[in-house]
Amino acid sequence: MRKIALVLVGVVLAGLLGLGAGVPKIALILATGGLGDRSFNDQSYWGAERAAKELAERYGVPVEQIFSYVEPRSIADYEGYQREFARTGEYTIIVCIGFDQAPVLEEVAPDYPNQKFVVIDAVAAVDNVASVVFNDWEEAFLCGVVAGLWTKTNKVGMLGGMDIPLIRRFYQGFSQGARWANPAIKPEDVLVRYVGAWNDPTKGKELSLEMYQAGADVIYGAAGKSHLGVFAAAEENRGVWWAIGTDVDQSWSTPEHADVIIASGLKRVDLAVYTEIMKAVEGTWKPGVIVYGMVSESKIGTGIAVGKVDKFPPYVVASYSEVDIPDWILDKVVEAAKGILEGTIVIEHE
Amino acid sequence: MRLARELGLILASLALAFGVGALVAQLSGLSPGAVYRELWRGAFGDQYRVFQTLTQATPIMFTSLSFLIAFRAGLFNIGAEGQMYLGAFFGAWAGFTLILPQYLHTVVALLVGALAGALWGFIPGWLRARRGTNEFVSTMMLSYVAIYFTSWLVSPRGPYHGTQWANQTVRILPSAELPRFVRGMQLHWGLVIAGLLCALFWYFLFRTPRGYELRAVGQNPRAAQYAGIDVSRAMILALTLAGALAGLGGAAEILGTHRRFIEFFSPGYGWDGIAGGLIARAHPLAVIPAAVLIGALRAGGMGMDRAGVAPSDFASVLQGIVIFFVVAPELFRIFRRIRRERRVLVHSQP
Repeated sequence: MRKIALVLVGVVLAGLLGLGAGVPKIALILATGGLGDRSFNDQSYWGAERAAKELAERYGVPVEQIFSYVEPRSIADYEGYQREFARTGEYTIIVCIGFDQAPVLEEVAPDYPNQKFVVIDAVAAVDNVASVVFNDWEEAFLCGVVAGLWTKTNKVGMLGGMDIPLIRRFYQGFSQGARWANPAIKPEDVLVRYVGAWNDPTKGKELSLEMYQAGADVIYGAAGKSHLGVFAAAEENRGVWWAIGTDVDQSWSTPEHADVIIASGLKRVDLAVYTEIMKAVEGTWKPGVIVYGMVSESKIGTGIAVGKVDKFPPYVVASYSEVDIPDWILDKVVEAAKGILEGTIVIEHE
Repeated sequence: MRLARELGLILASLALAFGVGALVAQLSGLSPGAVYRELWRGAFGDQYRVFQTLTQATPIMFTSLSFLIAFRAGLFNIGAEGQMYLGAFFGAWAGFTLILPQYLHTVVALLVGALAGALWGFIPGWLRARRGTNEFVSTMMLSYVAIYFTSWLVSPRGPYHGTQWANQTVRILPSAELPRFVRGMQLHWGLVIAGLLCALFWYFLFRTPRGYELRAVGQNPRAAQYAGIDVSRAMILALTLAGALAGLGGAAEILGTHRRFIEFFSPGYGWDGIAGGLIARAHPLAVIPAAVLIGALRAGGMGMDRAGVAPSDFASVLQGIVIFFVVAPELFRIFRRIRRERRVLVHSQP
């Protein structure tokens, strides 16, 4: 009898422990910029943290038990961290931030075929990796709409990082957006210059000044660090020249330029990270190339930060910009976003 | 007897360093117990962690030897970091350009890396010996030249920009890889090479006439000259060897760990070599434990970060404290010696 009781107690205990083991665990490997970059890393962290908090509540455990994250100090640290997490086999999913993790991940992931990995903004062609990419041209289109309506000269410009397909797609989206919103703008009125580097704000500024002096009064920057040069150039004729940022609300990430930045395209890395984690926990996760954007399976991932209030979340949301954008422009942006979502606006891209 | 004293001094310094580290942890609101527990676990917790420690220690052995060989000749090689980058790049270049049979390819790539580093040591050596240029300054400045030159080579506008946005070369060919010991672990044969070199340089310094000359120059260049030793030649030889060692270490790191040259791949292994060489009291065999100590701090720091007991910044702080305390007695000795020599010089002036 006592033996049976003991066995029963044992079974119950094992069951409880088993429940404990069922709690999902999430690992986040940030890019080398680390937290506090007001960009990619911070966004990814918010997404993962949001998922972790929800899961912590669902399973009644502290967040720390679910969520681990590391801030690698150099690219050389990536492999060590990826293997550290993967080899334990405890993590439901390992989220790797930054395109420079992809080549390493392609070597590491095959060694742990049962481990789920996510890499953001790059493609790692391995069977157990979900590679998240974004429909960048959608944010560019919305930025084009704002630029097309805001311009007084009916001439706008874009500063691209490099003349590569990715950035040409930004330009195609931007140009179509501007012309959709303002038919007075001809294709040749949408200027473009390519810096040829992601980290050359000085050259970015020169090229921007060239476009401003050619008559463009709104310039959209899609050039990584180089397009900080757009903001610096706009400051030289504040109130006449304007700028648009990319990927995050740059009135927030570079608040010193919030007086010339009228809007920023958004790449919602936070939403993608959150969604991929929840999919892994709920068992709907799939490897392969996962597209995020308005025209995608998840219907989220791109948008624009413009105006002072959320007009159409999560697509048209509030910005920290100090410039007052009239409601009629915001309404038109919302109309564009709805059009893209519903498929009445089709953005052509290569 | 001297060994026992040095060991005692090092252990006392370590105890002091960890004491101060605990105090800093406490003051930062962290738990010193948890910090040290995770530091230990991260460095020696299980086989994988021990291997991680050795992985980190491998390049530090090369750079410590590099510092030491120059130091023995009375010279400061502050440029191991740059020599390593040059060796790393050209090692990678040989790895993806040349077509050679397995193993031979690895050996050739390693030698190419060593040669590139040797050149970067020869220049300051020649300048010092023939023109009296302070090698402390020249090695350090040339180091930056090398780091940013290799960075340019793989930048988008450089000739060896590989793939996918990241500033790195393409992958080396499999035939050039330095094999790893165990699948899924980063530890590679570079460790064995480094260990053998420690023994080889012990033999060179203490059992060969060339090594004796080198040390004699280090102890008293004027006396060495009177004794008929070619002081210039010894200086050039010492810095060229120093460069070759650092370059070889860089090539081994690329061929074994990263398999491609990555911009800014080193988290400061060249600088660690200065600490490693001083902790080892410039003895080639003592380089092995000294490098393992620094490697353990690096690997342990990653463990601390992963466990979430302290931010990665604190790991750097702790590394700094430990290295400072262990190196400090040696530094005092060096400064005292330099001051004494100055005084002798001043007094001997007519």
